Amino acid sequence: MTELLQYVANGLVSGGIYAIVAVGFITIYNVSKVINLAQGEFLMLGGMVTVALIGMNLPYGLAALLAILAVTAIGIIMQKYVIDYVKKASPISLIILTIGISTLIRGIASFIWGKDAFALEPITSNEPLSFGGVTIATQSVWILAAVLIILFLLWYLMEKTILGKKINACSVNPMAARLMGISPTKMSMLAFAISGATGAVAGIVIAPLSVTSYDIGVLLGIKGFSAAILGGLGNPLGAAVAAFLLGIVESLGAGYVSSGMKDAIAFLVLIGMLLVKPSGLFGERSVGKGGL
Amino acid sequence: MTTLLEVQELSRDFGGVRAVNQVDFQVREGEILALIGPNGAGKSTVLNMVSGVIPPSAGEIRFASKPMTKVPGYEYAGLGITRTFQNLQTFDDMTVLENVMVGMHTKTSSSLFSCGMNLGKAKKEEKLMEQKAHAWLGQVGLATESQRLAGSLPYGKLRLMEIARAMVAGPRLLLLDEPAAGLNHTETAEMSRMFCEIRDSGTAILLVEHDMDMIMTIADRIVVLDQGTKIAEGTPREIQENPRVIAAYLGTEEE
Amino acid sequence: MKQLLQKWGKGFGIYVALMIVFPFVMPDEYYRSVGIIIGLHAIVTIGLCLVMGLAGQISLGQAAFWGIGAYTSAVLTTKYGLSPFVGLIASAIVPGLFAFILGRAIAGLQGYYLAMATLAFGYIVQIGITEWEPVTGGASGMISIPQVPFFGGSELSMYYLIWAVVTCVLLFSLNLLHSRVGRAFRAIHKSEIAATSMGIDVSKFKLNAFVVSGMFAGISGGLYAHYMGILDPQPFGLHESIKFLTMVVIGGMTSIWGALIGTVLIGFISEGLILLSEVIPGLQGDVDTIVFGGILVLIVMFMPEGLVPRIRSVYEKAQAKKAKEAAVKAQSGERVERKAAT
Repeated sequence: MTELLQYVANGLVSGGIYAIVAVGFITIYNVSKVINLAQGEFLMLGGMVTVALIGMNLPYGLAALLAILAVTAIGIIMQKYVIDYVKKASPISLIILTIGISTLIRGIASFIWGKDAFALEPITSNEPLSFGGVTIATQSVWILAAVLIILFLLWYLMEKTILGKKINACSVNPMAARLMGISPTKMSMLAFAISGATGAVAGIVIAPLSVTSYDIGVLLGIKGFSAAILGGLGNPLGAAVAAFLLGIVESLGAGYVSSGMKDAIAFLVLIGMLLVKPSGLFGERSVGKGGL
Repeated sequence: MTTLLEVQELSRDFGGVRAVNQVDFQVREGEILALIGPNGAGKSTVLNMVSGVIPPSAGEIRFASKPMTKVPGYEYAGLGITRTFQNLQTFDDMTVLENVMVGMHTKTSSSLFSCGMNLGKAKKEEKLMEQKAHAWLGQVGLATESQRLAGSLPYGKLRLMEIARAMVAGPRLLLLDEPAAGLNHTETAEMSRMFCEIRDSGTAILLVEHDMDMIMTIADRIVVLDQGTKIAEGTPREIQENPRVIAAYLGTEEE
Repeated sequence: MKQLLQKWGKGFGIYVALMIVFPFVMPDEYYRSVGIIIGLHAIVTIGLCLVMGLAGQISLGQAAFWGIGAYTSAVLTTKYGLSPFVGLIASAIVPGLFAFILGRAIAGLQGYYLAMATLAFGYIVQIGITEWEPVTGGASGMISIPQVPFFGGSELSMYYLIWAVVTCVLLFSLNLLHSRVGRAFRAIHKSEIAATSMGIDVSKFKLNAFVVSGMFAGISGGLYAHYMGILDPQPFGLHESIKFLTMVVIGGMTSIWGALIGTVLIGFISEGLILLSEVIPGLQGDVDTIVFGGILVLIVMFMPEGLVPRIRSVYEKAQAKKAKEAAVKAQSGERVERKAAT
């Protein structure tokens, strides 16, 4: 029983990270109908830039803040100079484009920092916490807190503010939004900025728990996207729930089946889901279906 | 004359809005039936259902007495129903000849392997496809354009190419979705003559069109739709004199 | 041969000549091995081109079919002592089956969903190969895989064996392109609705393209295993799949020659980067990923149709211009003559 709870606890932590990635995907997708396959790289950059800045003797907090700003800027640059440039490209071209961006960022990261893994100090103590036999690292609490705060802020932004309404308007009907004086390009840029910032935060909070290296973005990105699909692409709440479920299933699989197969389990779930219900657990729209 | 296509109580909803409501009509062998009506009357929707592009919400479509609503869209051509499109659906990166050759798909059967190895059967079928496609390109007056890329052809010629592509396999029923849209007077007259030839050669035509001159000259019978419902059916003369039709077109309040 | 030349024109002649001459222009064993690897990649990318350029689908898991092919033949020959020729046949069939099952499963998917499903499939296969240790040797891999007994199995004879396969695959695909089936693929790419109304079973043809590409990748993988003699799961991951993608995209997705030329180009760029990293000591990490990523981004932004179609259209425009000028000249000449007559 303790074992089970332990696995669930571990799953919740990694699920939280997937949730941030998934929501990042959806924020951009809803506004611009682009799936940013470089989303995972935002996390990698968040962690790596922080490590690098601390290496330059900057204090932890400042390093983290600068890293978040840097990744946000990268998100904006990406939208402004690349994505916006190819507005009318076919979906297949957009996939190739964002895959290319992600490959490029990964290559540059490996060029600057090498292929070694780096560790980041935990934000507070190294002492694990214990709840009735279930141990979790203190950092995990930070991760979950960060996840919940980000999700809450995003929800508040989208549902309760004028800005959120504008973003929603762009996703529902870009044409009408433009007529109302809302610039879809600006909103899309904002979406990339939000995804960059949240991704960077996620990258920073997980770095102490595992290690960070130039290539962690790929797996995190794919799993986050899996969660986004599982939750029904376009539905942030569904994606967040699906992300936690995915984290738990994966953790249980790693614990009870085989730890080597951990990543395969997540993908099997994804493929299985695509077969049974491509519109996702909570999705009403069937976006993936084609043909007649 | 025997009935070729029979449409019974055909309906279609789009998210709660009824676009087509319980429409009945028949297309007989060897006739041109025109489907007309004001914008938004549901003509194209009917055509899309009859060609298997979208499934009806209710009702039945019979083609040569065979129920069609459960038949997958790609089997329609093989059974003898082909169509053209209002907003052209041409294969721009293929030559005009290749476009028309695609129309022969159902009349050929060589497999992927046989095509890749260029075996005898594939070669023979390739010849047949080319020959038929050339014949139809001649028929529609595009013989000299056969090696041009479809993407470089002007609008009017693409319409003709679509007709050749739909006719090359020798269908029993040809569905035309606004074939004269965007054409000038001479081109329309030329096209009308061609449709009569097609009818006389034994292919029935179901025609959706806005050009009244064309319809009144070539249609054998006319079905009028308004707001998704059939309001009249008859010969061109009967339709011209029908007060409901006139009301629908002129938008008077009388009913 | 004459017939082939007639059908495919000068391009094919140049290809054959270059292909035959290369090992003698570059008699170094090392360059022969580079030529072999490029050939192996070309078999995969020509297949990928059928899926992406013709049928308009995307696969980010092509390296997985390559890996399945490699391990199928390696396991059959090393563990069960079968002939490499039997192994090679199996290395086409088994990935073909995988492609069939996967393709059947994801038949309704498009765009991002398809990209992700194939990406996930790629990961599963790589993880599966790594974890199935009793058969595949796990992460440490397999050794002493027998060579293909083809004229002594020297580097040179392997070069010709592999490029003979490339040529077969190329001809098969070119034939296909200009056939009923190829036109059906291309029709689907442009308009699924129109293709359906012409009687083309869209999902069946998409599946066919997918299976063929899987089989091509598998054959290449089998040849790779026997050529290398050793195998480990590392080259069958995302990095390689993206490399294949880059090759197809740079050459031009819609052109089979483009896939071949793109493969050769990327092959040489990779070699150039290796040389460069020996000269410049500070170069660390995956420099090639920077280049591949950069190429993908730049191509989509500035030359989405790819090299070969671009060159072709420039050439055709120049020809058309020439013809026009000639016509104008002829006309003005005529006018002059007429003037002279009056």
